[in-house]
Amino acid sequence: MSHAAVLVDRGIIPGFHLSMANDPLPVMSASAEESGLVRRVREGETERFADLIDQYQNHVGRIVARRVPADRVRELVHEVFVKAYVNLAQFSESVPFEHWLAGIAVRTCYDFWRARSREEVPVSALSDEHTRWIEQTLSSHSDRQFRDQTARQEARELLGWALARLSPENRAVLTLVHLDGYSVREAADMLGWSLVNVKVRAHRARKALRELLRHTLAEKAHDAT
Amino acid sequence: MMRHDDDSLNSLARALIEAYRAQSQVSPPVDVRWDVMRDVRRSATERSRWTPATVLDQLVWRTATITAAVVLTASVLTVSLWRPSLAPNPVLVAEELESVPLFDE
Repeated sequence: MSHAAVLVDRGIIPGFHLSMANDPLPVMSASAEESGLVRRVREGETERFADLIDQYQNHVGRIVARRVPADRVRELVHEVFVKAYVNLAQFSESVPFEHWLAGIAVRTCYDFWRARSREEVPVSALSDEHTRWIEQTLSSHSDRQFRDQTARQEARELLGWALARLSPENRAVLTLVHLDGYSVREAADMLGWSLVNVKVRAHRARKALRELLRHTLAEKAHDAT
Repeated sequence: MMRHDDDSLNSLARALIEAYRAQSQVSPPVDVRWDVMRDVRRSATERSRWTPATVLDQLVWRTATITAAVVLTASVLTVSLWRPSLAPNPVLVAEELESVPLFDE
């Protein structure tokens, strides 16, 4: 079942609720095929690593593309695979290789935003197009109209604008728990943080984003009057 | 006028989540195989230089070099501390001068 489907099941798609599920992760381990492949690479058959890249680069690409600007995706996917190769000895085979790689990808993106926050890259302001998009979205009369709105470029830009205003920690947790729909435990495993830390962060991140959106709505309402 | 109550907030949040999902469905494929394998090969070559035999070899040479340096330094220090000075002792020179008459009478 995909994470989106799990999200629907848990009823967290419609609102912006926090999934505090501590359910243990489903027992899954690396398949015999991928374990064999990893073992061969570890034993010195370096060229077999190309098979792992072929198999998982789009999976890693999707994770990274959701988290960083489009022009940095390739570079970070590259970094994820190099890190995976260097740390291959740490792959325990108790989880699927795909999950292990996802953890590296998430942490690499988190490091990217941490480095970026130190550089203090200025965040652009909302434009009139974004304001119009908010107005049109809120006045959508049908589901179809609403969905059409969400597919627009302005929606992604507004999301990027909001996420850029969060701390790298809040951003990482919010993306995993609220947007991707992972459980708190899954997010903690991927980030390598404690369960309590992720719970607290998830709560704070959600609150911070809601405050940001509330402020934006209030500001636009003020401008309109 | 724009509503800014909780309903609006929830709608906006939902729209952004949907936008996030839509974005993840259209992410273009990436191909990093060539670049990653170039780095992997380089890393593997560097690793292969560090076989147990190479490490032992390096260890022996380093230990020998450090020991030789320590022995050399100790020898130089010992020699410089204990070797009698080649310069004339000023006390002896003074005594010698005193014992010799200034003008031969």
